[in-house]
Amino acid sequence: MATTTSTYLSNPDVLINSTVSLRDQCSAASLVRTVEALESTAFGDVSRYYVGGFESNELTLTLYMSYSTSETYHTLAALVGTQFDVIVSPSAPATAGTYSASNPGFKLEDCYLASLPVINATMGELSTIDITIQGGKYSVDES
Amino acid sequence: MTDYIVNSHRVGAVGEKLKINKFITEKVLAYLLKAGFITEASQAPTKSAKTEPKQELTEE
Repeated sequence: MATTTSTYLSNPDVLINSTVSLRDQCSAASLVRTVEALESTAFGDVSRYYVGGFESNELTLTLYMSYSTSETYHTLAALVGTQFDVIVSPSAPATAGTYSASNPGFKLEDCYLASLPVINATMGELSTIDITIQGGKYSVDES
Repeated sequence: MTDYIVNSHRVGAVGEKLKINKFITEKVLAYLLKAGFITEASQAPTKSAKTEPKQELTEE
């Protein structure tokens, strides 16, 4: 029986540029760290071998859309086509910017937002948008 | 050094000076200004600022 899995209810935090939290508008976050596999198999080998290439990280977020001042649209509109930092953590740190081994801050530095759905309206439903944040230098803050 | 006034609850107490820490880099400041989360102190209205009485337009 798995006893150390993580059940996410309302705890995770999404911090844009180390200052702006979108926690109260976010309902799903998935950060995948990828190191591209470069094949290095050579004559004489009987198995395929790979070495690490570039990191190619990706963070997807599902956010409720709001056009009010300081909410989702205004927070993200200024980021489209720019490089910025984002930190996702299992819980919001008690002290801003202070993470730990049990609550690591997964950081993408100089990541990129290529596109932003500016409206996604369906009658009778809360408006949500999915965004994909690409690239950036990955690090983990456990200090 | 320029002071910045907070306009959004997302970055601090609205109306107060932005607290500068190690995370507030030039890049972050540029973003916060662009998104309207902060304004330069010299451009922000202050509590002591006097407002001019409105002039009513009348047609003659």
